[in-house]
Amino acid sequence: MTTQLSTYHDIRAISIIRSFVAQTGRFFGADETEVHQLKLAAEEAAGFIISALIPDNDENFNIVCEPMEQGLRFYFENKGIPLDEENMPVYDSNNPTDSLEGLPFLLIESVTDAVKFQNKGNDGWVLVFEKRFKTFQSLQVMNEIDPEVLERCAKEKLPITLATTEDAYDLIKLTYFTYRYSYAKQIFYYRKELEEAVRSGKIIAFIGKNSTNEVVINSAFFRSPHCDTIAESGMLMSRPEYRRNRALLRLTRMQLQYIKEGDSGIRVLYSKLVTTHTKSQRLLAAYHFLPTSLKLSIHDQADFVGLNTEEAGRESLLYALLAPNGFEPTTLYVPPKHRRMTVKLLESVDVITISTQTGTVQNTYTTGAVETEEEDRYATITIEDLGEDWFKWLRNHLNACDNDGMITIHLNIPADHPLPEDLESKLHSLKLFYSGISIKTMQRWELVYTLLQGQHFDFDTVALYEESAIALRNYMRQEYLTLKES
Amino acid sequence: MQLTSNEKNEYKVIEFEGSLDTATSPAVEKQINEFIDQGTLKFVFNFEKTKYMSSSGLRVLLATAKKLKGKGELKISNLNEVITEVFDVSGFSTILNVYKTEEEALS
Repeated sequence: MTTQLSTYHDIRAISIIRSFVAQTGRFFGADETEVHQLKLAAEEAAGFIISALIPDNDENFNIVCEPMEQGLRFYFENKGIPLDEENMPVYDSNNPTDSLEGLPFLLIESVTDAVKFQNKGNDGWVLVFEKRFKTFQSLQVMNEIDPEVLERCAKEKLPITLATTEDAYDLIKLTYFTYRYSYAKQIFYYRKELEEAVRSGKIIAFIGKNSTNEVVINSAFFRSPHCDTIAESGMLMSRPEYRRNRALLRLTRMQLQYIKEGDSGIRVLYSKLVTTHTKSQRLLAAYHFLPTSLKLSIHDQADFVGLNTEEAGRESLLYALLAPNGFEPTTLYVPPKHRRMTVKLLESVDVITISTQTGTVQNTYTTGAVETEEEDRYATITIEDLGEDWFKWLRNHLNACDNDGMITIHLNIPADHPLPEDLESKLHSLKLFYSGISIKTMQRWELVYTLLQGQHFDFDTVALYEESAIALRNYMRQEYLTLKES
Repeated sequence: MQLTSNEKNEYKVIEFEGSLDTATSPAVEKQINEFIDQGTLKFVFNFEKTKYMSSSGLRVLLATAKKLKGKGELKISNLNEVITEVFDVSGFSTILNVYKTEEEALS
């Protein structure tokens, strides 16, 4: 992480430059002597660079500062007369009058730990100096929460209530404290929309407030746009200092009890769980959520404030389902090849029958929809009704997605009717591979397939907790490798 | 940078308050030159209230010393810790006549 200043290429701007360097030093723990030395180095460097600039140059003067071990490194951009490294002026205290030109360098060298010049070709030169501090305070140290605060917050009683519209702004703040501005659900950054969602019951949020009446933990249900009796469970948020508070567990238990009581009308919960770490997966496993599908490579990772995550390129999400009062009896139709894997995913659910019965499609034309997330280069194609033209329909949409630069495409196919016999082989020819099942409405389940366009996907970066989820990931990896080799 | 001058024991004592740097040095040099042009040739520069000095400030001192060489005198006093460091690094502690206090410089 760097801090930068862009200012006028003017000798009068030296005081701005000096202040910037000095204040940055203070920020990172420099004492007053070190601050003075930084000021001197900054002034000498800037003075040398600015005086060597041809006046018709209207470039800005740029300084970048980056933390290094026990100190700071400053980069002073130099677009003045090219340097002659081998003939830099040298100050001689025995003959100061004739060697004053070298005095700035001597001063910079004497008050810093290293000075060097970097030739940047067309971008000119960069003068770099480094300064170590006796008590350097890194950003990490500054951001660390005081252990006493952690201890106090872990023990603090947090009454749990249902959020009202009045809590909307506090929820937005909590989103910020948890994710900064990286959370995927945009509604959690817009007060009026969030208020409306809470008022209408689209979002049912359980919140915990601290002694100063601030919302510090939250978990919510978000009703599915396709079905009012299905809701996404998630949006688990906590201020970093309250992560160890056991009220989070109490809150989750209260949520499930709320669904069991049935007042909300919600029958099925689904959750999208990140796979950069397994903390949330462990929590939901304790409540018997069933992992049913894995959506690979959906978007760049969200930033969890103060939570270390394993390094991975793009985020993949695990979908897990829970019906606290049981699922509705239904039959799922799956290609014979994937029966075993599907049975494994739903082995604890008695009322769902897995069938490999095939059939002919009833409609002439295929209907469906395509949703794209341009920024994330991710698309979802959902087939509502399979028609005789389904293969052509799908191929055209896949091509369109490809042309639009989508690199990950997920396909949802209705699984509530017998499927065409050649479905699997045709999907295989389009490089789509089985990725599990999901529920759309109480009557409709869907098969999930994935297409990864030109990505070298590393399945080992998908961190999973439950055995069935790991089995699904391994199954998908095998399918993916088979496709790549074919 | 604010300059305050007093006449003491045939010397013009100038107190420098603030920073003697790239921005302030030209005006300071101009003021000192005016004193010299008006006939003042013996100076004590008191830096007790000077917070900061860069090579631009040192240039002014060197130029003044050069102007007075053979016909006048420049004495420096009351260098604080940070300015002493600049003087030591540049060798100005030995190039110029540096005194701990103004009284020492005047005696």
